[in-house]
Amino acid sequence: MGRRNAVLFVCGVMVAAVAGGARPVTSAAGQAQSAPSSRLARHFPNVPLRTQDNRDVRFYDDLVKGKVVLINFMFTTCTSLCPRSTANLVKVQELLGDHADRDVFLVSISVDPDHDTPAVLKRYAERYHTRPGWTFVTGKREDVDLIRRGLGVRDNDDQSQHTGMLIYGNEAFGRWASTPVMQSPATLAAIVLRVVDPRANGG
Amino acid sequence: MVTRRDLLKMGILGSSGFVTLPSGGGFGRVSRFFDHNNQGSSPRLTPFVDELPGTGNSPFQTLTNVDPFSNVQDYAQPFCGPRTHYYEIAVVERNVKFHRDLPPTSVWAYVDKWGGNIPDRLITFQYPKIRLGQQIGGGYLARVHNFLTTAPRDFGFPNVTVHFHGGHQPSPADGFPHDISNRPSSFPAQVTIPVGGFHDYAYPFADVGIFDGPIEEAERPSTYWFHDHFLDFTGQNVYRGLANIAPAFDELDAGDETASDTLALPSGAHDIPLVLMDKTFDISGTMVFDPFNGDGFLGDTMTVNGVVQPYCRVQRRKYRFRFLNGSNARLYQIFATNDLRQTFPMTQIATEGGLLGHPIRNLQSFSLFMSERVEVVVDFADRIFDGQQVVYFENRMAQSDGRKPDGVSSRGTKLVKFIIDPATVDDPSRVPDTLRPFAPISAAELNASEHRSFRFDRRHGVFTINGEPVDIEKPVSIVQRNKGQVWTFSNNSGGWWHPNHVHSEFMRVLRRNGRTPPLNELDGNAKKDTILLKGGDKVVVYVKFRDYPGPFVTHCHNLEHEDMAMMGRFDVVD
Ligand SMILES: [Cu+2]
Repeated sequence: MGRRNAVLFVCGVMVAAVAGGARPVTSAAGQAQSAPSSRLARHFPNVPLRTQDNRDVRFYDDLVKGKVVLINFMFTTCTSLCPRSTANLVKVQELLGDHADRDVFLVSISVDPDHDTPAVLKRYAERYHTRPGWTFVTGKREDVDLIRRGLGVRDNDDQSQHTGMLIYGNEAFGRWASTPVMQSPATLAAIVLRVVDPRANGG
Repeated sequence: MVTRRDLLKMGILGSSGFVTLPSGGGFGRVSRFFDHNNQGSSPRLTPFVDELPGTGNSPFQTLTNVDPFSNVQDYAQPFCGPRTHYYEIAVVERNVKFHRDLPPTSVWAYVDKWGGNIPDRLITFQYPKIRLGQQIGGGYLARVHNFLTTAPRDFGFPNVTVHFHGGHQPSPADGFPHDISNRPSSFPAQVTIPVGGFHDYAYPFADVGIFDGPIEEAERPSTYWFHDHFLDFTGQNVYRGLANIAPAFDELDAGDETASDTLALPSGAHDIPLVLMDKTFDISGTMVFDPFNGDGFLGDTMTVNGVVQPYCRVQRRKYRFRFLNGSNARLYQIFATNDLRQTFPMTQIATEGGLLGHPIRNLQSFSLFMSERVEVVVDFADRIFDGQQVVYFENRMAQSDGRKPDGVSSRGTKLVKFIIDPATVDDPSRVPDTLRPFAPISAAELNASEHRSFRFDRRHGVFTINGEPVDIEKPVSIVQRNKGQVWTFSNNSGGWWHPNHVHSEFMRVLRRNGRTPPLNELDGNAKKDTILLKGGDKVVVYVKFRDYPGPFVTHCHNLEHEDMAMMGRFDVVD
């Protein structure tokens, strides 16, 4: 079976087999698009937050835009899942190696913002020896709720119901998914690294 | 014939809610998606202006047979022989039309690599007539190329892995979701397909028990489908278009209604696949999705075979309709109706595990949960259709939340319109009272089986199996090959419904909530690859993994639940 390279595109639809035998589909063009459209923007309310270093940031502009980011919800007085999940993410951050703070960032958002002041978050981060590239944030409760709902975290019971999933994504490429925080750190690191460079081959 | 022992020696096998609308018009509206995302709803489209793809002037292509490959991947070589047919499928991004009045919109689709002028529809080809009961060295070898772009997109992940759903195939051909580290030595390091890569899928179409026996000829499906299965992104990729249907045949169900030594079910142009999917389009006609909806994405526009509410011309005779629920999260309750909201009876002949032992006649409606297949025969020549010029399949299941449906309402959304030609025609087809009879699993076999429980729950916003979140590197179960399994699935999260799918082998449904299951899933009449767990349900099934060792998965077929890790890996070992 002959294979030829010449392939024409019209409106993204393959035109092939013009004459003399079948030409294979080798690729096909979709709609040209340089960045994910504003359709995803509604998921990232650009609300003001404050970091554990008392820095004022905007959720979208400063923590998400153009980044690969791992996002979880936590609160420092949580005694059930949060301590284990934070400890697990510390190991994930180690496994991210050079990616951490270079092209992969962690954001932990307190769902108990009234209690979790920047100073409290700072002590919490220090207790777990988190490394650069991991931002703990607090803010107005309604702003945190906006983020939570934007990211689809909306179980209605107590706030610990918001703490089990890790949302990960590559904002520049529009790839977003989530996965349980409490998997082995190696599995988690492998899963999230898939979205770091979508141009690279390899699953 | 290559035996299982040969394969072992060769190191191949492991040693180890919509608001209802007036009749005739419109589609379901108001999904949870819009409540939370203020995207507005799809453009209002005139229904029944496009012909149903796969019928009439809108035929499917037949996948092109190609020369054998000289470089078949290692694991697949023992399954290839002189009778193997080779195909090449391309995964491409293309713009297709879902409706006359919608502009072409970007989808990811499976196309025939050698298909030439491919129609600008979502579903464009069918496998050539699949024949079951092959010896090893027959069957199909499908090479799937990933020609997607890595450019930014609103949703979807451009790595793919193809699950041939309902199929009994080697583990490396099963579309495992992830390239795992913790794997048997015979399992390839890479089974997912990156952009620019390909994977060889060996589909032996051999009977269950081919290696060690006994051969179980009753374990033959009749309608497969195949779809993407990439970890955490399955819902996005399937919604984006990576799904297609694949009917299968054998000497009994031969696809020839004129062959009187077969069942002679309606065949050819009278055997019609119906893939149901719900989509949402924005104001510009672009297909959109919400990657942050973990409850289950509901589209507001109904499509059949990739076209919004199509029409189909039929004759006064019997038709076989192969329903597939290809939706991410929508459950259907299907009625045959007319413009006066009268309903018409149907005869169910098959489900995932192939033909039923005996048909279920006078069915007024049937439910169809995600990934489920239900095949029905409708006889438009029956007296009850006298005077009817137009009949619809209509979905009357209301659903406003991806977690579970609201319930069956008195009117719903018409999915596809049949225009009945009044002329009288010959109809050689039949629906015999016995289709593919088989005995229920024996008490002796059940007594010798291993018992396991899988309790599905939700904790800290995470789906759990037996109390723990899953990890694709860690099997939730190690299963002895050829050892009967009695598995109890219970759904403790009452607000959520979960259709649970088991790969590789069919389940026999033994008990549902302590009672005898209904005929459409009861062992002895039906075999299932997916069972519905409504809130609080407890279902006991029998399953036995013969032939193929290696990692497989069982998971919820609400694709958003699956992507939220409601999926457990099990490893079949020797
Ligand atoms: Cu589910």
